Amino acid sequence: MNASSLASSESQTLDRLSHMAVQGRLAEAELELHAWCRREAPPAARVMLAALLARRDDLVAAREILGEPARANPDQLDPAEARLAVAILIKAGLDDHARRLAAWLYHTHGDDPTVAQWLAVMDVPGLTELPAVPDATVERLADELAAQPETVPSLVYALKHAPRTRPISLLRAATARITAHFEDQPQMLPLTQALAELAMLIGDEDDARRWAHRGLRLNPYNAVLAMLLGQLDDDEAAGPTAAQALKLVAQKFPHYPDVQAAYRRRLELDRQSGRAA
Amino acid sequence: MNHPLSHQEAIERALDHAQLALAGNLLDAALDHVREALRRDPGHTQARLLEARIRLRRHEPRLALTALDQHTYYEPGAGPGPTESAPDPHAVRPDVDMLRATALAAAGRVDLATALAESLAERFPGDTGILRALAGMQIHDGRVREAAETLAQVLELDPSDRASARLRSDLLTHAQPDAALDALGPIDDTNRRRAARLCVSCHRLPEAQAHYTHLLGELQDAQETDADLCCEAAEVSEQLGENAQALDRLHAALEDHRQTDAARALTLRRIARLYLHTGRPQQSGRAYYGAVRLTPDDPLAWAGLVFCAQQADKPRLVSRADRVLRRLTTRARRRELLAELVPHAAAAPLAADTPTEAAALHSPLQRMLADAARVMKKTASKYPDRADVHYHRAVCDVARGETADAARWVNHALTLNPRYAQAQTLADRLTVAEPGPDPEFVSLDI
Repeated sequence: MNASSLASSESQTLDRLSHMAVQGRLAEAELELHAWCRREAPPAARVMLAALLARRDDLVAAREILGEPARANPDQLDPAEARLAVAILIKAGLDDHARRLAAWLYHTHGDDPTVAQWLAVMDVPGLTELPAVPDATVERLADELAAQPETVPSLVYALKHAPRTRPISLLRAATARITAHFEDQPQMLPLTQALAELAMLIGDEDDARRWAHRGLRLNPYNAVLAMLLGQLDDDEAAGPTAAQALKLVAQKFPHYPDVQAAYRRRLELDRQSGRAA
Repeated sequence: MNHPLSHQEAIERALDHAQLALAGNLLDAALDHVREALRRDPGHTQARLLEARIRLRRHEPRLALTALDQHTYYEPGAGPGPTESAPDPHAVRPDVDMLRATALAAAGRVDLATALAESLAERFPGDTGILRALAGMQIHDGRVREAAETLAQVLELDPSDRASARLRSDLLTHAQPDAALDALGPIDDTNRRRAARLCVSCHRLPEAQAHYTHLLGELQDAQETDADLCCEAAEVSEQLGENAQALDRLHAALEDHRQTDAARALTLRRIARLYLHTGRPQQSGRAYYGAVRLTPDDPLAWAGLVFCAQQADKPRLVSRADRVLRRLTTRARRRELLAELVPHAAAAPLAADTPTEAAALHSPLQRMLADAARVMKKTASKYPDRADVHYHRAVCDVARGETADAARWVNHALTLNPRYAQAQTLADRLTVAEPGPDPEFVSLDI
């Protein structure tokens, strides 16, 4: 139960009722829960009562009791209660409600491996439509990265050597979220570079191009971004062509063999594609 | 000296033989003797009655009815006179009407038979034979309430009739279990189990519990096992909240080796579910495991095993059991089976909270940094001369709070590339005075 959202007397009552249920005093617990739910009971009490009702297949009553707190106001549920509510909704055949609550559970508590594993094992409705990374994890990582933005390029560097889809998606989403904090600060360039490289790693070329151009607007002589752009098709609406960007960097750093080679490759590529066209 | 028999004597002798043959169940012979009597007097009352009885015994109810139709219905000598147009109802013989009712019932006309038996019962309310027959017909006709009332009349007349008492109790079981229990009369060893079940139906659980305890005690004294009885008794214990006793009784049921594998698996599933109720997923998992070994094609047992393995945080077992479960059932059904188990385990939310809270403390950044450090270590051993590897390794170590290691790696990066600006900035941050050779790399330098 959410300790913060529950008064200690309510928490004690819930513990007592839970203990009662474990000891088999179900009717007694159920009666007390019914009386409580007729007044202002916390959602946890409603979920507990719904569980007792569902145990003896009284799904209509369970749905009625569960109704609003589980569906309309899930924020008051802790992960265990939300899991129970999802199960009761599935059992009651309310797959749409179960899908919504499961998605909420995933996004809010999906950073907890036990919750993520439970959702996967249960194969909850809509599981395949859920993103690879839950919002809760993205949010949390974003908070942490905002305090240590200098770690982002190193994490990207590691992922380039051992690419894995889930961490890439997670880092990409969290980094994108923190860019607003560093809009006019020196950290913005490494962040945009990181986002362009992550997009490239995952094969999202449009996004890679977008971030590369954004980074080059901050520093037109960024060799990494220019070389990255050199691997992508041109989109004049997004910014200068790759050849133009590489030329600028190549002229600035005539002793960078990587940049010179990338520029020559790009020119050759453009020449071939022009001939093909 | 043999005298020829008179006409009447010959008929009586034939009927005597017929009676004896009927008593000996020699139905063909009995019929022959009756035919002999009827050949001599086709309207002979006793002969027609006897013929009807024989026909009934021979499962020829329609012929029995034909025989009765030719019967005058009246006692010899009391028959209607030629001037009488209607018989005197008071002179009707109940045994003849009863015979007709029986024949009608046997011929499939239960409605007519019951109506006839009811009129007989009205006229002869003290005749238990008629009442019993009527109750039988009413039961056959699906008139359970009336049958129970008729049997109540029988029991008023003959309280020692245990069969009627049991039957009446059975009839009342569903509609009026309380009345059924009362109808059972005094409880003894012959009807205690029935009484226990009726107590359950009436929600008189403490009484049921007492009966089951008595029955199980007797079973124990006789050193016998009865899985069905143990399971029934366990159900009552569970309803009374005596989970430990219910578990004992279910475990006792498993000792009955006459049980089929399917029945034992069912008992194990009940044990598993009880363990879930008491917040013991590991024991529950063991019981489900026992069930899947007995019935490998039972998706319920596999779903239980998957669920308990998940609860007990055994991912390999989850994966193995889930493979079988997915093979045995559809995706939707599998989801339902698992969802059904969740409320049963909901009694122990506090235990489930512990790993959740522990996991919540785990930082996603720290996880990523730890992974990155592992990757960087491998990359560094693969490309020992690349300064950027060592620099990024140092950044990760700093973020993980391992500044000593970080200083070592950043120094090494600067050794490889003294103009590495970012490494220098980091080194300055770490207040590294002079980049010196790292002990780990001394051997490489040599």
